[in-house]
Amino acid sequence: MNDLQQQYRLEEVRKVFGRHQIALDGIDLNVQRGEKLALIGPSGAGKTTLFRLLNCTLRPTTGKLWLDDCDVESLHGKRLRAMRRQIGTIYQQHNLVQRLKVVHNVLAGQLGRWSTPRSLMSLAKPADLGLAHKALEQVGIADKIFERTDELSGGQQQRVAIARVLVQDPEVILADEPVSSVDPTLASTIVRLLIDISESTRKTLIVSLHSVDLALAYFPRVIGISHGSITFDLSPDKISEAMLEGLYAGNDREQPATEAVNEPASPIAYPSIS
Amino acid sequence: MAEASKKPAEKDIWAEAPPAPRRGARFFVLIGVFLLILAWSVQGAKIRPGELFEGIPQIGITIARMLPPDFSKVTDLKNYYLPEGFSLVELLLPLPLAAERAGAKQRWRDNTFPQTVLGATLETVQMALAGTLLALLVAFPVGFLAARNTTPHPAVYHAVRAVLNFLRTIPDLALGLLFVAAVGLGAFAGTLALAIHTATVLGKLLSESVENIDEGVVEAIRTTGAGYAQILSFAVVPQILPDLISFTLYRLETNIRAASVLGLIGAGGIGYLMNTSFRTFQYQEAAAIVLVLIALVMLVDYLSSRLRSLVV
Repeated sequence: MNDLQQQYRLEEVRKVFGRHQIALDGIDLNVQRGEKLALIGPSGAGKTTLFRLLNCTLRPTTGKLWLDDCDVESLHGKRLRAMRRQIGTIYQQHNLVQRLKVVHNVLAGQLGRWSTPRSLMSLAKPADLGLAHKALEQVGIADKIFERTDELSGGQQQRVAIARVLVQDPEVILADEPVSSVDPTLASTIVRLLIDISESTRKTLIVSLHSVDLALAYFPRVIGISHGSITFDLSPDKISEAMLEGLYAGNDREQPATEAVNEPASPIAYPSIS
Repeated sequence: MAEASKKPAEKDIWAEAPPAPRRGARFFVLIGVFLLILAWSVQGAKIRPGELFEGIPQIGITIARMLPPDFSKVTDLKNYYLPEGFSLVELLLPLPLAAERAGAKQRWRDNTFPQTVLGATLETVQMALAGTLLALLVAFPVGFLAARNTTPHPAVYHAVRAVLNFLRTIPDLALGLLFVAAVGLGAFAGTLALAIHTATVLGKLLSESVENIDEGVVEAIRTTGAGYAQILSFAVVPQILPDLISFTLYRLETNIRAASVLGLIGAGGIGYLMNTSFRTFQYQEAAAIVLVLIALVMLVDYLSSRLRSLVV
């Protein structure tokens, strides 16, 4: 393996909240540049915490995390911000500024490059309308550019969040449950969109999914996480039913493993044609 | 099959249900202490319904003395002591005048006009507006310093909170007395008093509003590589803007009332005139001033509620 090609390297990473709440319990993980991988596992397994470590929001309690061969422990201030700029995150709850217009939310992806005065002026008069328009066109909602974000539907908001990452143009795209709030058809559309973006620009893509079917259908590498550790890390054709059952065992109150694509979730999304 | 699944369910639900939490003796002791404090307060406040009942006719007599309100002090031009040789238009609008006449006009506007009912009313509004605006300029940055999630350092947070909490305990009347001693009688002293008191209240309210924002948005903006000022302007300010506007308008309404009271200690505003009328037993005149004040407060309330529904 070529070291230059390495995006992430995690060694024995643990994250403990408070004193006893162990979110991640010894994660070892290597991710190559341009790789596409999906994380699956029950709620509360630690996927979101892993994402927050990967995008430099949190630091490991113990263990090492290298990003681009750079130990994140050593990053502070300006260099930390420069590193964060290289990682775009799409959140389950979108985390858009509801009261701002779509265009400002999309251009927020530029904040890592803009000076403070420039960002403030952009709130009065969008600084790079063309860029925002192009990104929104790519996710198919260019007509919403001047609408207030809180007037959009959940699926549209998720596209705005993707457009924000497009504008940010990072090396890595992290998407934490990006499709849990949209209907199954839209879910696979959005996952395909993310894959397309990753493939056309050689970006590393890490996505966590509730839907095992989506993960197995679209990703060459699927990682199962439960109780804060990795239970398998394989290509989808090597993952057996028993492995999946084991992954979700003891979590029967959580969302069932087979959720979305092939099963009609609602009659509106899947009108019975035949 | 059906029976097998039914039986354990019947047994288990009740056996495993946690016992309902009991109210201990402590609860009843607390209630008892609370009632005792209440009784002590009623006694201390000298609440005697009998006296109030006997006094009702006296209230009626005072109100009767105020009727009908005498608006001559408000409407009669001679009560405005207009300097000779000026038309109203010349006095009220900023028109170019010869140096000598401009001086006379300035003297009238600075010294005479604020002591008339209309002038004092306008001065009250100006004090409230200026005081609230000054307060906002101070409270806006202070609100971020005093919020746990945006403060640059915990020490700053504790220091700013301590100062805010201390200053907020000083009533605005006391601040008014302090500033009258410092800068002399007049609207400036009152405005400073309003500004300081309002800044502490707004600073506290804003910091609480900042602490209640959706942190997810902050995290998302931070992960784009944004710095402190950018995070504040993109993630925090848009979220607190409705609160910011409605708190400020609410304080403006409060300050109109407060500014009219500050006149009592000579810190500008309409309160001084009202007090003078009452003290000299000019009840009908006082009634007119009270009515002007009520109209003013209602107008400001109305305008600010319109403004609020427009922007929030």
